[in-house]
Amino acid sequence: MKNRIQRVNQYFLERYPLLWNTRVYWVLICCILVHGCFYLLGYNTFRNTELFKGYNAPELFIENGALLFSIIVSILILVVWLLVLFRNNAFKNFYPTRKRQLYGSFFIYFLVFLVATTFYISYIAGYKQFVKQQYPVSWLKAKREQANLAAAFLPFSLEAYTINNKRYPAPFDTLYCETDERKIDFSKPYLTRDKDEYQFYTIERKVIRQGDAAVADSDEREIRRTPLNDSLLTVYYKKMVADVSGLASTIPSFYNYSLQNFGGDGAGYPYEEAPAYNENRNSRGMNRIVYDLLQRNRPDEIKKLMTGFLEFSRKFKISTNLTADKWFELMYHPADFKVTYFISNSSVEGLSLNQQHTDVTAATVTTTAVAAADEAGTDPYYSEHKIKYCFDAYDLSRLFTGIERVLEFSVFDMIVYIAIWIAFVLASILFAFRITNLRLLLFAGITAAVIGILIALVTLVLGLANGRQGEKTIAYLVFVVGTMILLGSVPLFRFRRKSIQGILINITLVGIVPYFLLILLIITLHQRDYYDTLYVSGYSGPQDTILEVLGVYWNYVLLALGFLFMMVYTPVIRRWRAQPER
Amino acid sequence: MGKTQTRILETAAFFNNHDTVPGFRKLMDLAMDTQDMSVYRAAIELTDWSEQHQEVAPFIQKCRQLLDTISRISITEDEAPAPVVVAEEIRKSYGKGAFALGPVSLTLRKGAVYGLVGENGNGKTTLLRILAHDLSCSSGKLAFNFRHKTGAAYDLRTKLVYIPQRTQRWHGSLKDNLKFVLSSYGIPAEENETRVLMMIARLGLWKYRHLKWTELSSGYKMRFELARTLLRKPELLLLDEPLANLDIVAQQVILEDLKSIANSVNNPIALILSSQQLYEVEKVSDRVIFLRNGKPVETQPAADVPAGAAELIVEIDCSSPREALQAALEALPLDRLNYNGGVYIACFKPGAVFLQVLEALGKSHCRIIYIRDISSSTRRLFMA
Repeated sequence: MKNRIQRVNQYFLERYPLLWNTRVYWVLICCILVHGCFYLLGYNTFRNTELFKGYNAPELFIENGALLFSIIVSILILVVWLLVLFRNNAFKNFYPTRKRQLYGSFFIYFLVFLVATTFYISYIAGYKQFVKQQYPVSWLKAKREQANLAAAFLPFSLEAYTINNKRYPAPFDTLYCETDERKIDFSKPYLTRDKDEYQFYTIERKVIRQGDAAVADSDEREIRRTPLNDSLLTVYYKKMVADVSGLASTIPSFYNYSLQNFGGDGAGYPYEEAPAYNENRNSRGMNRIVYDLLQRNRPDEIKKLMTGFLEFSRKFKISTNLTADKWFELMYHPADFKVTYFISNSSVEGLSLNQQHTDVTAATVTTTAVAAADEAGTDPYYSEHKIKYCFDAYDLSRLFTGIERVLEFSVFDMIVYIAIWIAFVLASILFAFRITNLRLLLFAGITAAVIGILIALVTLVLGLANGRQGEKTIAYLVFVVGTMILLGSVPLFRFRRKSIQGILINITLVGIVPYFLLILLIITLHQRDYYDTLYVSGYSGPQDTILEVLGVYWNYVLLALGFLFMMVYTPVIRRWRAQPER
Repeated sequence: MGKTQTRILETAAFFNNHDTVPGFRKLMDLAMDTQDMSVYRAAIELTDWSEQHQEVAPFIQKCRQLLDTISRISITEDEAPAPVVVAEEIRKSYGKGAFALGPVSLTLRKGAVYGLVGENGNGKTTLLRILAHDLSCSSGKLAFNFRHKTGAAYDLRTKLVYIPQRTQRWHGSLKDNLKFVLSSYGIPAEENETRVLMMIARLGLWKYRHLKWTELSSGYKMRFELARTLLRKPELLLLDEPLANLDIVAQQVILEDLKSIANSVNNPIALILSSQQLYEVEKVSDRVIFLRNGKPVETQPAADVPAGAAELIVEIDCSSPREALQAALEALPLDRLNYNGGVYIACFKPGAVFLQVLEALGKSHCRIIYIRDISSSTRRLFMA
């Protein structure tokens, strides 16, 4: 093994001295192996499905220490690599170093830093692949639909089963239900249940200009207004009372259920079905599905749904004390499918803790107090039908959310760009160190810090940081200073000492990409001002600034510019190195 | 008869006289000049064999065989008419009232060794650094004339090889460091190892090639540094105090190596080195430059002064009292006798001959420990 390593090293030493000096071939092989290990570790992470229920499942790599471990491994690899790299420096010893070799060394530094500091990305890729294979989007969609349907028969609260939730069949799909007793016209047909009233209305709508919105405020028939586009609003009004007394009863019924309890189609939990005035027909599906299921009235179908749902829940350790048989027995009242039971949205442990607390409270509370509590808010129908069963729907929701977020999570949202820029900055610093020396690099850092502080001082003292104009002033101030540093690093002025020029070169190498970003920002500021003046004169076309147009691709643009600059800058570096000291 | 032929005959003569050490060194020089990889490999084999076998006769026979092989190979002799470096009125000032070097004008030619001497703080390192383009001069002109013209300033610096007094530590394998130089210079992979081993063999480093840098003595560190430098095939080589920290034998070996390598047939080098070892440097140098207060002092008598008419200066270390010495030299045209606390410096008027001084002192009863004619040595300038 040692001989083989020696032979490989000798091969590169004799033919590719730059590759040998950087040992990039070993670093890449080693990093690929480590990437593979992290990938496998990540792949096996979500075998424990409880992890999906965490607060931020996709960013588990931070919480479970994978990121920290990745950083430790990166540091170890990079330290060893740097120790080997620093053994030889052809450029400093004035060995023939062509421009492309100098540039090549920078590129190799970038590649090594990128590969050696992104193990956590392989970890993420591993668990994403696992989740994609085990819980693909189609599976998640199907399970969600199953859960949403089964959730219709998990009555946690009365409010989901009252008639105002009804959206199907006709005419309920086109009616609005008023529940505010101040707005109910008691002279017209309405329905009651206990202390609640329900009055149904047909709907009319009007489209108005945004500017005329205030005029429409006075109409008390208005239900809601939604933007149609940038300049128009749709306003919905109650038109006429509709008499539905013969079509449905106010007894809480499964027929009224219209929640998507576990979200889906991009909706979070819980997502209530859109009202009639929402013309998005897609969101008016849940009530219909439940209605159709109940209308088919096939006990085996309902039981199968419940059994499947409970099996799935058990597999993912969702706490419940329901069994399929008991549940079906509670739910199945085919005459009107009214809701005759309410369960707790909690785990079994939570239920028993709650129960203990309730028992203690009940033992000490008088009848008067109970009546007072009833009066305060608890519906007597609910209290009467509450039973000691539970299902942890929150946990299931967290599971779905977690899986969905892991599937949707992408390192290309932000993480990969952070990794690229970290690698670029480190490569620039290392490159600066390799072509100059530690002393000049440190002085460059100190000089840059001092310049930054001076700019901040000037800004504060002259009061430049005020409003939009202040932004531009500061940006231009920094731009001018940056340009002076850039021009100063180019050997146009022979009176300068070599060390001073070296400091300017170091600042340029590390600061060139922020300089390009500053140019983009200045352009953006000007564009914003320009669009503002156009808007005042009535322009309503696109107002995208250059940064908005580029979107996330500004990272790639700046990276390309950075590499291009390094390539163009190598003659400056060579000339500086050859320059005699004063 | 060309240079190569002359050297072949000289080498053969060494072996005839069983002077294997100088003979082997000359043989290696000739082998290097062939630029032939098969000869290099033969020379390397011979070196390896000689390290393992101590028998002289078989060794000489093998050397003669190699010499015979070399003599059949045509060696390109470098004829470099133009000087490598021409410095005109070089001056360097470090500020008002501070030390100033110059004006210095000199011409360095390939194949010649130039010694740069002077007391500490007189500008030796400054001059070397200016010639190496490591330090800029305040005024004056510096022109380089290399075999291959250089465009960029960096490319020029690759040809100016300057070894400072304190060299940096080598990391990793010694051989790898040397191979790295050759591969950086574009030497083909198949020749790399052979050329490195050849240089190691030439500079007597065969036994030490597997050691680490920290295991080497300062003399061998200097030799490895020299090996690395010579692998770069410089046309101009500037060495700052290369003999510091070396023992007498190591100094002699290094200087002889430098002389013979500078005089290479197909790759002669213009070599300039600064040193405090006057005698050793004067022995190998074709010209010695003495700096005093930053200015060069002429070390050779003026061209129009006939031989024998120049002032005779003799350095004498004598344990007898001054009066006895004075009395012994009374008959000679002694101008002045100075004592610097260690040795006597006797300056005679023009016309005095060193043999007469030897004769006078030999007949006297003075106890002479050391005597040397330093009329043409820069040592006299130190003593002045």
